[in-house]
Amino acid sequence: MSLKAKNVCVFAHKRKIIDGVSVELERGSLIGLIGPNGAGKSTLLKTLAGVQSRATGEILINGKLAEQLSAEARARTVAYLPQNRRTEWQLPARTLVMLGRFPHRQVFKAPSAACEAAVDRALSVVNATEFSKRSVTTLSQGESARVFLARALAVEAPFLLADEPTADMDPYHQIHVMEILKNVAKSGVGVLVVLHDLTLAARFMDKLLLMKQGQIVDSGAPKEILTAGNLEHVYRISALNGKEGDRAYIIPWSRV
Amino acid sequence: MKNLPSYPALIAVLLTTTLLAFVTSILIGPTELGFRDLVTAIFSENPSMTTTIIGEIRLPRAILGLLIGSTLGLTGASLQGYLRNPLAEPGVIGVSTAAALGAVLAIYTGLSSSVPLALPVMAIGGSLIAVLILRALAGSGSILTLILAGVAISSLGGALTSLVLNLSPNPFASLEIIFWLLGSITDRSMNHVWLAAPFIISGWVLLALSARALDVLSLGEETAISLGINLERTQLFIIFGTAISVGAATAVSGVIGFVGLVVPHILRPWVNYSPSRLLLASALGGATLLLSADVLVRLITPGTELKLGVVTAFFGAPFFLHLILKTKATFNT
Repeated sequence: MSLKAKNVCVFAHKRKIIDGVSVELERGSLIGLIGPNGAGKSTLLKTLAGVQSRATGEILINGKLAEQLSAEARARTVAYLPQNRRTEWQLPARTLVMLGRFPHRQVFKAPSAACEAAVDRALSVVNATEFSKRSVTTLSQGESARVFLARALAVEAPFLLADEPTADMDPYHQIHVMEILKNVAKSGVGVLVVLHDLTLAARFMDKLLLMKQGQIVDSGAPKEILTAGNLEHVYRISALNGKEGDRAYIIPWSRV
Repeated sequence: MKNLPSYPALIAVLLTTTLLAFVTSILIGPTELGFRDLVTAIFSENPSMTTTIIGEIRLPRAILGLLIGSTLGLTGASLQGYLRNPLAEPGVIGVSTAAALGAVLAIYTGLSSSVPLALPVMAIGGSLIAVLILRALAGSGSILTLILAGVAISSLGGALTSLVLNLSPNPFASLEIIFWLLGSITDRSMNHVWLAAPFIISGWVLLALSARALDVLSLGEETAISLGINLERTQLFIIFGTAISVGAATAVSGVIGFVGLVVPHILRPWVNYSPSRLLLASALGGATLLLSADVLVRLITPGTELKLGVVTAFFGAPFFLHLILKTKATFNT
């Protein structure tokens, strides 16, 4: 199974937001999509998820054009966690997670045992089982963000696209979410994550895609991407480098 | 909220209240009727005074109360779910105003007195034109543009209605228009029922078909699309469903506000905030509320009946203020 984008372009307001990007996401890998604000990371993620309607180019799912798949089949293959993680209604957490089973469910039927089990799994993976009956609007930001992540996990799709899943979280929960995504990838899911935190990116990602002005300018293992040169040219920063065991880490330090 | 009744139990309760309100609506009026009269009227072969009153006056009124109340509750719940805004109402997207404008034009031009069908047909036409303008303005775009377009159409429709009243050379026509705008289901016949029912029920079907999408839409548009929802089709069904059913309802009853706002809001906690389950519950709740209000107008001032729209506004407007204050309070904390 593979999820591929071929020569994707997105125009908006007479500007190229995505400029001829090709990427491939394989199952079992955790890939970070990084780059400064406005580089087109979220737009690329939306395009892969089929949520961006103004994209040109090809999205291929298992070698087939995504448009040829039914909406449900596509939804079952690619799960998407957008940046907007809120709801107007005071839905119980479990009900919200069950919405992730939508593409698997039959019309006018109660959720199947398989759906219930998938929801239970997703809730337990994010440690949300104990407050699954509470309304999402009464949860703390960290708890509610985990419930929304569980919603995306409940799809149990072979590919997961997550847009800044650690935004607004304290360090404890940031690391927790990264560990969850790492395990999800280990279980065979292809995970693509938009990240701003370069320290987390260096520590947890198998591979990084570096974006600048709508293009992917570099890709590879974290230590090949987070070089002093790339950080200076793309991010206009310098960073501190260190090593813990065999893992290199960086801490963004000053503007250049 | 703890210890909620189950969904089937809630629906059973609402069905009972609707039925009670429906029967009461048939029994209450200037001519006092008992339940026994009703039963004999249903089963008797010979037409009598009682069967005429029930068949020609009370029954159409009760059926219209049922149809229109359900429509207002259902469309309110659909629009609130679709726009993810608890303050949404058919009035919000300009459909009620446009339907009213169509009807007012029918009265103003005198068409409604020469061709009785003209009034409902022009009201439905008004709401359909509003929908087409909405589609053109908001297209398949975001919910925000839809609301803005709806506000624009509402104000334009209101302004044009005022213009028609302003230009009306005949004080009697103005009076007729004003009374019609107040909203009422008094003195309607079975013809009104047959005219409105097909439109109203097709509108219901369109809205029922988008129920499942409403649940997923509570996560936002992007998530909904990523879960396989066809957003354009959903928008088409909800807007056309609302336009057809509210247009036909307004054509028969005039403008009756606030039912679509109040009913879904009260019932939402009882269905555990599920937008799809709220639809049927709100339809039944709306029917109960409108039928009860219509009984009330007959009881409060039997001589000169209060207009239904006036009564619902008296209950609804304070409720609306209460809602806004509550929303404000949650934003401040």
